Amino acid sequence: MRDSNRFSLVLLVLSLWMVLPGHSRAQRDFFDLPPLPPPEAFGDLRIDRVSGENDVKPVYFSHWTHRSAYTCRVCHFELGFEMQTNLTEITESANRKGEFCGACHDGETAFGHTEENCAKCHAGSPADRRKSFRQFRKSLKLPEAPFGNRIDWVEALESGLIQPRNGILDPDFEPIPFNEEFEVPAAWTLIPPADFSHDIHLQWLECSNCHPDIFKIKKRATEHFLMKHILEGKFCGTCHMTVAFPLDDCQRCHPDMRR
Amino acid sequence: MRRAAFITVVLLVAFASKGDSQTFGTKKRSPKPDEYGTVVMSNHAANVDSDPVVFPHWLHRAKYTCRLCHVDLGFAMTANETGVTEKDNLNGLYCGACHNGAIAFGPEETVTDGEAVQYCDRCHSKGNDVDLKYEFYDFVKDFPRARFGNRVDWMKAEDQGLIQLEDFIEGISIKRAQLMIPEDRTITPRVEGMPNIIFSHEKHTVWNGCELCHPQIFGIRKRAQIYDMQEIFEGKFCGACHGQVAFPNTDCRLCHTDDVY
Repeated sequence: MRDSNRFSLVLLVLSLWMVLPGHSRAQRDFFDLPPLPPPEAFGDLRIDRVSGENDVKPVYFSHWTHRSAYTCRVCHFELGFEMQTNLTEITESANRKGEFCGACHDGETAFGHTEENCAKCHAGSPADRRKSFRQFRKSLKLPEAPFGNRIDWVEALESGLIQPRNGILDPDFEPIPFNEEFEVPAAWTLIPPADFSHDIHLQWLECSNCHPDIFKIKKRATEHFLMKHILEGKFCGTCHMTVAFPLDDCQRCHPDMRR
Repeated sequence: MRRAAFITVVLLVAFASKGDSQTFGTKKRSPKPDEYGTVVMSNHAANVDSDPVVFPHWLHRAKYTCRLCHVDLGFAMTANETGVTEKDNLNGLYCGACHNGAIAFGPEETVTDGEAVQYCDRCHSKGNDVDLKYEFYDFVKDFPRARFGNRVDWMKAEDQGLIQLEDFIEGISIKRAQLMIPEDRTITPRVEGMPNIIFSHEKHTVWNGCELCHPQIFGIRKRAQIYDMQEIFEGKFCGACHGQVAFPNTDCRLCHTDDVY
């Protein structure tokens, strides 16, 4: 073999090695996954749209404490919370009028907007929820998952261990029984397809949480739907980076993928 | 061999550098109730020394039918497509059909001491802090509530007589006897599992008559057009109004009302 040909062969093998699965490098190194917080802090958000400007301490919001009692749909559909931090114009007066947080934090359903309660949300620093989280997981015997909150929330919901409400404004709400499941072929050769279930997602979400902004409604019509962009927090990454089980869990979506 | 390797590398580099921080794949911010249905028009304003027009649908739809502007006055269904000029308005066309100082404020008004006051900035208000006569939240406070869009159930407001819609302008509209309103239609989505849509001609004709939708947006013959939800989301068919001005396509069950799946 001529030298130049040998060089080309090495180059080709190297290039293929980069795109093939099962290579020796760990997934965390290959994909630039953000560092995972401890399980009790996964899904925590620092909300500081105007708090700082108004000399109020920012809010530290915990998703897990809320999602055990309410589905995503309640806040992100009924109450109009946007899907990006600091985009929703939550104000004290809106809350007091029963909007946003105030829909529940009214002194009846949950603690209200009284002076002694301010710091409960406007804590200014992340709360240490290690103890309450451990207790929560233990007392309900919640099924485990390898990443995120290390709780298999889907399993917890299906087995009835948690019974989050799916509607507060519309108590009779029933999700549209849309059970379509499909395989999403991977863009890269030899990467096994992802399994998608509408049914599992509809237990938590409303159609319009994802359609048409994040995903077009027509199959295969969504452009740029690539892992690279999911890792930027787009598409599935809208939830599966910060709140729903994180992308470290490759097999959960791509079940035939090797660990 | 060398070529194959070269192509592989080129493809990889191209792949890695593709895409930037665009808005695809992200959830858009929902407009606030007072922003929903507000249209900014700047086709001619860009060439003359005036700011773009900010048109509030909420205020106009509380007083007039959609049909009056979009059929009788000839306003297009896409912002900037009509090409309204100042001259048109002064000739009593488009905005000028009402904004003439008689039905609604005109471009200029003479106040008691004989001084002329210009009202240009009431409409050409983009980027300006204009003191308007009506404030959205105050205007809608007694209207029945809806969850999305303007958060006003406009249909119910009309039904309950809280708003009375004018459908006639002297000298432009023609009074005719109303045609028979066709029956409700059941539209079956092609996607299995989605509930049927019960389409009410009656609810729509109150605002639109026949001409606003037929024959351009929807053909008259049943099933003459096949359209899908993606096209509606992109502003075609029902999406010509729903998603822009009429209630948005956020709550599926507002249209997919049938219990039969």
